[in-house]
Amino acid sequence: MLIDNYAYTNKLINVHPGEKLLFSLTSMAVGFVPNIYVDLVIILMMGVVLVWKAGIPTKVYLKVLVLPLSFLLPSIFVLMINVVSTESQALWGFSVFHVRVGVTAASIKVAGLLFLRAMALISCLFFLSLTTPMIDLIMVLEKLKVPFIILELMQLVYHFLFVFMEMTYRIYISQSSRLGYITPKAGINSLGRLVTSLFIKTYQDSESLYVALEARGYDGELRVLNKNIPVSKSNLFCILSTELLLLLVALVTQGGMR
Amino acid sequence: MKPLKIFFIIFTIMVLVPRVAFAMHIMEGFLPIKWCITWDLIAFPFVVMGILSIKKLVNTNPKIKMLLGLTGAFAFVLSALKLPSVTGSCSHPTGVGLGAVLFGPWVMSVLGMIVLIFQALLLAHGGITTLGANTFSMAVVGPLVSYLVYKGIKKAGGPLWLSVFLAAALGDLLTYVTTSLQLALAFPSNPGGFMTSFVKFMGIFAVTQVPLAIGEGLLTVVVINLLSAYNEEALVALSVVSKEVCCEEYEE
Repeated sequence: MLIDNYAYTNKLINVHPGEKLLFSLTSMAVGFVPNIYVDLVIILMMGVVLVWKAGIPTKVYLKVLVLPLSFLLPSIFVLMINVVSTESQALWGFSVFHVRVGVTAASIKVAGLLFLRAMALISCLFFLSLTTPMIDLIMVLEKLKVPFIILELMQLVYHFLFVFMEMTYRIYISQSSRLGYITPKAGINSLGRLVTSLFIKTYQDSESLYVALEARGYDGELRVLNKNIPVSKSNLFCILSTELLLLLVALVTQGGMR
Repeated sequence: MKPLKIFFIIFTIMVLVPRVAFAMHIMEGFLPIKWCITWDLIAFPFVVMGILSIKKLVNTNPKIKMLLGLTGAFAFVLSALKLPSVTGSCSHPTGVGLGAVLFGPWVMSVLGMIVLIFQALLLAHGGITTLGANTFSMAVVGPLVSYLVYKGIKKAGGPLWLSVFLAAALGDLLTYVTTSLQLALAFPSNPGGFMTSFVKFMGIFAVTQVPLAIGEGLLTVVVINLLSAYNEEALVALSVVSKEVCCEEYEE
């Protein structure tokens, strides 16, 4: 998993995770302001911060940024196409079962605005996930009083996800090398077997994990040492002034495409 | 219609079909803030119910915590798999039906939410602002429907394979219906309003998701059959989680 690798090797790893979370969430909140300039600035800003400050290679970041496009573009496309009542409204259209369907100027506007907002918020999400290891994030969530049981489950999920990924990958390779996925019917059968052995592995690992924990004095709660990173006041100041600047951009440009 | 247009429509469908299949997660930033908060609030009580029921389970048997944690990892990996479907396109199994049948619906709301957080952060599927909406459709409605269908058919005396199949397939379908509802509420089409938009999203989902739901149903039947055939022990242990379910499977 590409994103997770960079979460541990980027240059911002020693910045307090709370600050990174704050930066990402406040930028997301500002991103909801319906203004294309703000969205564009956020996309650029996150790119610059990730490449320069966090040291993520430009190529890698662009590759990551393309990931959500395959989800986003079809959804945007669907939103652009609407039922139109009159011929003149549509810029381009076709008929399905005597219903006139087409693209209007208004729907292009909505779709464009939405596309930019989604990309802006996605780049905020990428800032968080490319700079903050999951373990650090769980630490912040603990300070934010998220129920402990959820955090414990998150730790377990995170830990075993990689174990299971590896195993699944191997089973999948060996199944397909034996033509296990040659027809849809064989595919369902093979996949069923894969899922079953994965589930049994899940069960067995959970048993042995419990035994291992008991042997080490487990008393019902998983405790881990937290990193001790001081909160930097200058960083907080930078974050707040950036968000204020973004709001100022929104005020000055007055909604852009609206 | 002109041949060119027909070609274009077919081309569009071919481009869209394998992709939209993935789009049941609502993307980060796709919903307006009003709907983000609304769905957060709607999903919240279900997650609280889930936390309470997990706490209760863990108190009766501390091992359950490990099992639930690992099941979360299992569900994440499951969602990264490709599901061969009738139309030849691919999607990932959601595991919603399987989880609900094995663990009951409340536990799934919490596990589902955790899996969605990991998917957003590690794979960029879904997002943080749309977490509430996605949790509601995939971790609340889906499991609840699956569980009720499963129980209902069991009660009516239907065979195990049918109840598992319908539970998984209908759980999947209702997840898509909920997602279309969420999208249609957030984006009513300009002439036509909410209903037109809902029909539009449902139409796309009907083409793409019905075969996938059938695929997921078949897969879940295969898994439950194999599981009860060769790992009785695990299923009996699970019976602490949802008693009746596994005992019945065990008998069969």
